[in-house]
Amino acid sequence: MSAADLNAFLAAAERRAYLHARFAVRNEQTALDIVQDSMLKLAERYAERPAEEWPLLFQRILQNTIRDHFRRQKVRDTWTALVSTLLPRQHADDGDDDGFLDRIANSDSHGASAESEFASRETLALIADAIAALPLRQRQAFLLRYWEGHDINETARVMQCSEGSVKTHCSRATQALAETLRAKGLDT
Amino acid sequence: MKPSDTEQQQAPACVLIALDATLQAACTPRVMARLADARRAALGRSQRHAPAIAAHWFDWTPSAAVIALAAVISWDSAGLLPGSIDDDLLADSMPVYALIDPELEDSLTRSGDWLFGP
Repeated sequence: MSAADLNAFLAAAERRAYLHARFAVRNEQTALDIVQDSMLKLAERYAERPAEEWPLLFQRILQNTIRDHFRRQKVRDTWTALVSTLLPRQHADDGDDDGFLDRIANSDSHGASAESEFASRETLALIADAIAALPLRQRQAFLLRYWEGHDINETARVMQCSEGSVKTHCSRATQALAETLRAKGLDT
Repeated sequence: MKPSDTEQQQAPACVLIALDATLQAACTPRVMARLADARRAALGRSQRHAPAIAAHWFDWTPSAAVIALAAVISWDSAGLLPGSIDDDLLADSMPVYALIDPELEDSLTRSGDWLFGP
């Protein structure tokens, strides 16, 4: 496979990969680091594989990198908790970017003066918030299955679980989203 | 709900639309620039990968050969290596009594008694 093929694939996949990571870690820099690590791993280990295999490989690498991030964070949090018991409490959030969804609602708002546009942005933020609030595995299954368009088998291979688990995750995610949006007055 | 039923369920359309819109909003120019940098780094890594392996072998082959030679020499000097095949054949071809008494054969040959008797 040529470098041009790999470049085209990564250019097409990077934005969605970033959003996957962004929803998962809720931090811009961390999400970008995760996407970069995933790209490097794909290029180093699988650049010679057929291009048809890249989408699933990249998704699997991305999801594993996200999982590794949470594992490292868990270990780090354990030590932080131990140390914090010995130190006076300071800022609770350390780099978390919970304003991400608010900024989505306010993004590109230079010309946004119309009330309808404000409402649509608010709706957008509500939906994005509901997606971000899903458990990690449910969100992964939902995004891979419905947004990325992978079938059940492909989603199961990416998530390294059974097809039944994928169906269950998708079902629960869909129900949770529908209930959340309905509770906020949005008709799904 | 059975898993077989869940596949019939569809994602809310507004959610998928919102995801696309969220993607547009989240990918600011700064993010796109960083993603492009990451992509270039990945491409550079993929192109360097094959020559890097070749260079790796080139760098390490002489060192590995020297280490292997040093190990053989040290084992040999310590007597850990088995003897040569020639030594084994020579040992097998010697008469058994020569092993018992190495001087017996010489003494018998000199006296001429060992074949024909006294």
